[in-house]
Amino acid sequence: MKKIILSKQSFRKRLFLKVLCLFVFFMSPFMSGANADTLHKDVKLNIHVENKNALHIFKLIKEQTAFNFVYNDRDLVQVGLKSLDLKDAPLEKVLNELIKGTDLVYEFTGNVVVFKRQAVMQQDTLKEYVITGKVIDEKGDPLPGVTIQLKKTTIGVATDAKGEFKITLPKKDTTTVLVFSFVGMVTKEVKVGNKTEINVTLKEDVQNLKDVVITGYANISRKSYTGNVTTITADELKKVSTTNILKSIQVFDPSFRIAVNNEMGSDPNTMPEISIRGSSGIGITELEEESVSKTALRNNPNLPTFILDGFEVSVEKVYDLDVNRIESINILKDAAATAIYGSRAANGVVIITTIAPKMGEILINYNYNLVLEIPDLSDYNLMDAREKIEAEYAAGLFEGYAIEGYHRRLFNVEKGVNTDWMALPLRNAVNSKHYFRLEGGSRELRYAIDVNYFGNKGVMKGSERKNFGIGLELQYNLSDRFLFRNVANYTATNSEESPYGSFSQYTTMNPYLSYRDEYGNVPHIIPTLTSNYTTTNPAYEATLDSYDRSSSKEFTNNFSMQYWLPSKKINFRFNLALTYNTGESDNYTSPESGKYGTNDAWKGEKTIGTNSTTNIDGGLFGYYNDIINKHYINLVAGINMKESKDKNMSLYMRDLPAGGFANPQFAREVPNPPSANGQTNRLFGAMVSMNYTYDNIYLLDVTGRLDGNSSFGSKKRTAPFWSAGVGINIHRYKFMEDNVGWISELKIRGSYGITGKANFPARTARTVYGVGGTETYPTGITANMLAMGNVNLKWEKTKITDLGFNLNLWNGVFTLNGTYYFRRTVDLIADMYVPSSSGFTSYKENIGEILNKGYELAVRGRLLSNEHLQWYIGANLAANDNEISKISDAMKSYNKAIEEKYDRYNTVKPFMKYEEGASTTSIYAMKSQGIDPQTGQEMYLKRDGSSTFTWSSEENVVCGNTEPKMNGSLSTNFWWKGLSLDLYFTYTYGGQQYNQTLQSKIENVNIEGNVDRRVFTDRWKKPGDVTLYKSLEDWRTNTQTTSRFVQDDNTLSLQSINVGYDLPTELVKKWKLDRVRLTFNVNDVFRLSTIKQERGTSYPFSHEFNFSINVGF
Amino acid sequence: MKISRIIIILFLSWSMLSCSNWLEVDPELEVYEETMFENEQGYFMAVNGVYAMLSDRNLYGQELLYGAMEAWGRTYDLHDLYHNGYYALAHFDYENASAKEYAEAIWQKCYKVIAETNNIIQNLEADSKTSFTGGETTRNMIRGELYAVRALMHFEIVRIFAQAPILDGGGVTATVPYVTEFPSRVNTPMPTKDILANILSDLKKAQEWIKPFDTEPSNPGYSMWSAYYTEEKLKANENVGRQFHEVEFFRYRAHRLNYFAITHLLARVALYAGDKEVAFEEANRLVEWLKKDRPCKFTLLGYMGDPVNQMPCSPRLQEEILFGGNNTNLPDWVERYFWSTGNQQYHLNIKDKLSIFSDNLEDIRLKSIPGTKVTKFVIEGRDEATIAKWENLIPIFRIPETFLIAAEAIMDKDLGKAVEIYNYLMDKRGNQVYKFSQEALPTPQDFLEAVVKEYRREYIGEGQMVFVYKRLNIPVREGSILVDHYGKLVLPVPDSEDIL
Repeated sequence: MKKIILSKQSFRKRLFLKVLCLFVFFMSPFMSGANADTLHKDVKLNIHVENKNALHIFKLIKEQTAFNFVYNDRDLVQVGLKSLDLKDAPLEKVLNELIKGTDLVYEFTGNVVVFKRQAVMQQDTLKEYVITGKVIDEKGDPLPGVTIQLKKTTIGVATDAKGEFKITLPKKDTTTVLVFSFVGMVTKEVKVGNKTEINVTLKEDVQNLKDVVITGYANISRKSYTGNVTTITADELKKVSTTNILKSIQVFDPSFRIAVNNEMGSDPNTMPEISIRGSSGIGITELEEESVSKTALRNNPNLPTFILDGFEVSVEKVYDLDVNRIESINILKDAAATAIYGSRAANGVVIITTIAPKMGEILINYNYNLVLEIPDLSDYNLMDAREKIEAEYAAGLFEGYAIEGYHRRLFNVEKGVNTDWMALPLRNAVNSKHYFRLEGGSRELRYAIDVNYFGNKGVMKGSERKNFGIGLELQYNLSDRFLFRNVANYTATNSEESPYGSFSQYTTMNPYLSYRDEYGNVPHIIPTLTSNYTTTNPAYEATLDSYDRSSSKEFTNNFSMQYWLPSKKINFRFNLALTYNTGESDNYTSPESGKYGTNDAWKGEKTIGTNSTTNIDGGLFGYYNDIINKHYINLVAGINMKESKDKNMSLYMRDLPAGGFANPQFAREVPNPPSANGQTNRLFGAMVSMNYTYDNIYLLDVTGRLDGNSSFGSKKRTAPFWSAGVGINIHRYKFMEDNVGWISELKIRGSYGITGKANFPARTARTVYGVGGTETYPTGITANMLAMGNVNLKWEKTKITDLGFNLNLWNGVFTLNGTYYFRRTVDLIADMYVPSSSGFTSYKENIGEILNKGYELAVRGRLLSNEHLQWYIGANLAANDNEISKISDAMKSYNKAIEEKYDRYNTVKPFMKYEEGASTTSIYAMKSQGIDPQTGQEMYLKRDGSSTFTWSSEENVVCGNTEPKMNGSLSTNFWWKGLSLDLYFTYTYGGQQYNQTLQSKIENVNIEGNVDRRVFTDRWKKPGDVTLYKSLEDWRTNTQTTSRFVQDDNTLSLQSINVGYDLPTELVKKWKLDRVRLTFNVNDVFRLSTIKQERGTSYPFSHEFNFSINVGF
Repeated sequence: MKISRIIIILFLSWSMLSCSNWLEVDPELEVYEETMFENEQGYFMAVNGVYAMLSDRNLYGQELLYGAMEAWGRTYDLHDLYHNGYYALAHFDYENASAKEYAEAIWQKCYKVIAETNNIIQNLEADSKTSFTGGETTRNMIRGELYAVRALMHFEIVRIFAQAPILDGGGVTATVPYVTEFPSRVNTPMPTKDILANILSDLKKAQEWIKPFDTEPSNPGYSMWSAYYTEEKLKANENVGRQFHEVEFFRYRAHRLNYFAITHLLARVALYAGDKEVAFEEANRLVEWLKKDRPCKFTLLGYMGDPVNQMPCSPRLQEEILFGGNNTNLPDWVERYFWSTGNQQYHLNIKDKLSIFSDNLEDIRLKSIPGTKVTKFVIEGRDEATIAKWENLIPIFRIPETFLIAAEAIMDKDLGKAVEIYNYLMDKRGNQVYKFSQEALPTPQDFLEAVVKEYRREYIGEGQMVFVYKRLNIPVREGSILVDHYGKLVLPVPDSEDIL
């Protein structure tokens, strides 16, 4: 009941507002008349009336002049009936006569005469006056925290919790304009005129997500921020890919790089390796020994930190996240932005925000994706059956008696055998993806439920990754002072590897062999058709019931509570997140597998692994926002604590009966006790961060953080991190606004700071003993040294300098953003290789400094824009140069000791991996001078300039760099009456690759297996031949790493084509729906490269076709 | 605003004070070095770790026993493909990738054990606080064992990777380093003879330190090894029903690197170094003890025999072992090479077993080899339950070698004495055929030949023959063929030492 009354009241208010607006609107032309002030002085009037009211007198005046009158009828009652007789009287005299004996006063505003009561007038004439009002959103909800500013000044206030405000303006001026702005809302300007109360409705602005930087601890206006942050909205993400978020990010921010995995291709179960702005670390990628999972890149030195709704998550979680749940992604790159994350910030931070429930009627959104994946074998260039036997013949495989083999193979080919081995393990995968969301609620209580499912089958038969997720979000607003939010999520992932094994087994099979025998069975062994030789049939394993599965279930609950002090300038937030994850892996090899011999004592193996992770992440933060004259302050301070506990266990069993008895109970032997381990990691952080703006022109960001981490050594538990950034909004200077108003934004900013990395194993600095291990000795528990500690080890720190500018012309017609950065990782921790007589082969040492420097440019232009047609084009570029810039003293003295040792014994000097000037992604190989035309052997160039035929590892030098000098993307977005077309291209330039195909499929090709068609071209045959490859007869001698196979790798690929169509609203309404959107998307359409090599060796790449339909109720 | 500031400050100071303890997390299966050596239990665990490593597959668990070393000595009938690395080793092809891997693994494991011992020694020597059960005697025992293990590992390294002193002017070339501290990152090679001298001096010290623990009746070591039943000396089976020492660490005394094992090792190293005087002195001391049947006893005739026909039998010769290892994975490893199950092509078959025993085809040791497999490691046949009791046991030093060392060391000086020691051993084995008459002494050459032959018969599958050939610089015996090695019985120092 109460609610209804409330809404009635607000209705009345709204009506009043509308009337007021209309009044202002109609009155404005009169009010702004020119020279009106002087006009009334020249006017001479003749008025002759008897007992007439004021309205009559006004009418007479209007007949003689151009003046109009504004008044309140009630006020005029006071005037009563007047008798006047005036000739050639000035207007003022007439008016003075009129108001004689009343408390009315009048005022000229242009050619309008405004009558008011004395009391009101007195207020108006005071130096300052007050305007009050209320700001609401489209649904009628009050908006707290809206900034209200006097245009072209810094005088401003903010609305309180009820959306109400009160502003004191310096002097009465009808041309005064107030600017209402709020994050995520369209900024509105309102002329004050004579009003003392202004009520405003702000509209939501979807585009404006881009105007806010979400650091995970605070939301800051981009205009006043000096950090370097890339923001990507959900709409943009979906335009590139609806299935792979990480891939989409790469298109929008080229400094976010996903290493091309030539081995694992498009395997849905392989996690991508990611770095932001080049790699800052080497070496400690070591996979935890116990884990067999490909995804366990636990200590990857370059992986950025992922924060989902304020809490740290794994890259796997992001990989499995449904794109429909995302609202925006912010990539924090420089120190000003990341220092707030202290010891987790050195590799950049990716902030992911999910959609919060909206208020209103129940809103249902359903999204369906049909994903078609087709293997991409365009990089393979293998021979068919006939070509292959001709090749074998030419290679001299059938010389002498062996010619019989040739005939048998030829016979097979004539019979029609031409097995496409590559097709055997592959399929065109058809996948479905569903997303359903229901949301709604009142102003006090809002809710949202979402459910998503994605069955992602890979292009290799049997490989699959299934995700299921359900989320429930509740938001409760108590009297505008407390806000409670609770998000609970449950996700389940099941993954399975292809029983067909590695794809590479199929690319080497000879096409003239059949994978079935004459009875139609798939045998384990197939004859090679020469003498008695046989070969194993890779397709056989897939006919067995072996499997390799894993699954994980995760429950997360994020709770937050926010409390505002009455002033609304200060609020506190408390966060608590709980995550519980359990995983299982189950790997079973059938006893019928070809890997066991007939006499083996046991056959069949099974490994079961379980792991669980419990995370508790909590924080308490205080926020302070204030505007004092021209100073704008946004301050955050707080602490956070995090604990994560890992537990894992694995049990290996063997000797299982045939016939699919894969239950552990059937295992007859458990050779070792189960391996079990656990690890606890704790983090504590205290931080302060301030964003300060003066006059909207001068910007400052300062952040400090103190981090304690349990994986740091005991003496250096805590480490401080900090950053400072400054910026100038040049376009806000008055002379700029006045003279070059078409420059909508010109900002120059710079920042410097120190961040760190904590993803090191605990045993990095200290000598640690491992207890138990796999062996127990009869005299008790054993303990062995796990690694050689280094007491002098210092923690790695990254110092980042970032300079940039933002330029925006004609309100978005042309934008250009540029950044130059300098990322110096000092005291870089890496493996130092030592002679093995020390008991170890390496230990962790501060080997020196790594310098990543580069620049990023992004340009975007609006070619067309009107109601029906929009066309944008954009391009971006990231260039990064990685170099080991300095070698540490420890490293130098070590090098010296080594030199001395080798000088004394006059042996070959060792080859040093860390040299100043080299890169962490350098390709080391011996310089080649090509194939010697005389001998057909490869000639090498030694470091001292002499030539040699012998390859030696000490003579290896840097011959290339796998990391491209620059990469980026090109895009075009076109929209016409609901129909959209988006194209995204990506490119890389200036990198090299070691072309493994040339080596293993052409030069050292095993002619007994299938080979690349290029195998015969350019081979050395007789003295005098100038060729690229050595003689075919030499294929058995392995070519060692040579610069001959290091090739430039420049690529251009069409990452995505996206066509979307919004069905016309009239049509949709007929179906009782809100909206319907159809999208068609093709991923990885084509790829051009300067290097021709087989890609996706263990798992092929694929093209992805994606059809999606989105329905809103 | 003031309130909020106070709150923040309070929170910060509270958290700073409380977090340092909260951040102290001890890993579950890992212990930091500082905490490791806080009490005797930590030392015990670390020493157990050293022993466990000695029984690793790359050391006495396989390669230094029936694996790479035995293959190098050409005992087996090897196949180019299935035993690729072993085949290459036997044919001096040390550049073969697989052979290189074996060398690399042995080298790295030996030096890993050395690093482990060095770290414990350093902690022990700097630590005067920790008190041990049994006091200083126990402390010295641990110290002695660790010095001995370090010496043993260096000895294995020097005899595998450096030229024999006999071909190197007594060992003047510096090939491998002698490492005595941890961490020690760059180690300079040292001339072989200096290394051998270091080994001998370390062993001497070890012998002194350990002697009270193992030889004074009041100490736990004495009571352990002097027990009558082997089961008592070695806690072989929980169901035996005998009393074991209450301190777990003091058990298995008879197979630890105890006073007698160290004495044996001293003799072996001295003989290798060419110091026959010391070799005889140490070996003979042990021989005298053994004659009184004290620390160990010879396995009775017939008892070590054919597992198919004899009962009971002791293929691992557990009663003769002076120093033994233990590894629960051993049955798995030996199964692949010696058991009737498994893929036949990987099996290690003795090459021409009759030629080894050509002097006496009735030798019980020949009879115990029904097929061509080294039966010491087979747990198949009639008395599997008894054999299974010893399935994890690794024979590293056995007493017949002590007699052979003593005999060889004294033969130049006193051939009569040498023959006497040799004959005693032959009696114990029940092989009168091989004995020499004390009246008509053989020529030194004949005597030495008899010693070598006895090594060959006795140590099948124990990785010792290659060092006999190397030490004496005599041709390698492959079946009945003599293969000249031209001083090539030296594995190259692995790449991990030089190429970083």
